[in-house]
Amino acid sequence: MDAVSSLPSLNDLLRQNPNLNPQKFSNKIGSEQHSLSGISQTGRISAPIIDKTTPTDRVTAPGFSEMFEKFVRGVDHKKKVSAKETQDLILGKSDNIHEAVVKSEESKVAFNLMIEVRNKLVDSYKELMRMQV
Amino acid sequence: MTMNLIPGVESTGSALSAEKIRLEVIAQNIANSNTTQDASGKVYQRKEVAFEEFIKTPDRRTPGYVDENLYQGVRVVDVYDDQTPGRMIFNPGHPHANKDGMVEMPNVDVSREMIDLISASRAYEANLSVVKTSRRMAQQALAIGR
Amino acid sequence: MIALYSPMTAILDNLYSQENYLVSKKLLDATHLRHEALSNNLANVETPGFKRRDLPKDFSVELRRAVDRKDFRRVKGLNPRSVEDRQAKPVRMDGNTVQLDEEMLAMNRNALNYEYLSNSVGGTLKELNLAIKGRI
Repeated sequence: MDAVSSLPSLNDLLRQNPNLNPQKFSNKIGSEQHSLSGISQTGRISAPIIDKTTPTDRVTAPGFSEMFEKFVRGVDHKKKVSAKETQDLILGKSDNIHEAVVKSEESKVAFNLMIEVRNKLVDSYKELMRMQV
Repeated sequence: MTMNLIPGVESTGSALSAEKIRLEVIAQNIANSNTTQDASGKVYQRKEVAFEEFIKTPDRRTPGYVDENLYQGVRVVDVYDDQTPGRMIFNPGHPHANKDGMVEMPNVDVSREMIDLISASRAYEANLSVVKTSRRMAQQALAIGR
Repeated sequence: MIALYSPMTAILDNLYSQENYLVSKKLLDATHLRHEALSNNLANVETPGFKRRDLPKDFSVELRRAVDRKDFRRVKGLNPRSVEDRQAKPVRMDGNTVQLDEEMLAMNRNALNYEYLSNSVGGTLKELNLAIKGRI
């Protein structure tokens, strides 16, 4: 289990960048882009977005960040489970090859889902930024 | 602890080894079915194999390790001599005849050995087929989702 | 975005909660275990006094009952174990209860089940990937 818990959790990755704090969001969508590009490790660090919105503009936002964080944690959990199962298989503690393969595929699917959601968020952010005011 | 991707391969492997040993012993018996004097000066005695189910003791050194797979097939415990006395044949001209002119023949009954040979071959082939099937199953598991 | 109020972890759980997927996974486990038991039986076909082992016959009955009742927590909690087959009759003088032909037949059928179940599980995963990414 030590090897598994030493795997960086996605939340750790999120917090490593001092600009990111999942709780403090200036513009919710913009920050999602921030945190997600941290996860996808594209190497592009966008400039922090300055908060110009007033508190009343954020009436629909709080639910989404928590929800997304839970989602990310869920995906992370799946990855850890899959890593543990693979480790058991490799060390000979288990001989359930199908378990290892199924868990690894499940974590891949969950990860893909997260990536696609991230893509959609980025796209919609870009769309919003393109809007003429 | 070795990685074991093919289900049941330890059992099957153990059976293949055990049956192979048995086949060798049977072949030796048949080859010596008429050997009236072996290296130690006595008449050849039929050899037999003793099989036993191979049950592993669980690995207690790793805590929390549950070994469902205690049953690892079969192993050869011993190859021992069959003590049944052989037939005595009256053959005074034989170099190994005793003072009464009787020669002790090996206690090998070739027809019985042939029956054992067939059982051992069948068991060997069955286990060979099992290992092929097991490997196919493992490959199908690996292809999940591809 | 405003409409996305249901917690997203529910998406992950719901992804994998389809009936057939859960049942197929559980059966895959059971089939794998049964293969190991049958392999061991065949390895010991010539061992004197050996008693064959198999999954208990009521495992499939219990599974079916749990699915009929839509009790999927029970389905997930079912843990098959291989036990000595008490109904097997000795076929040889030395008390060995393994019949080579029957055992081989059972093993081959079981292997085919494994193939089907792994395809079924894989199919669900491929579908999910397709739905998410838009391509295989």
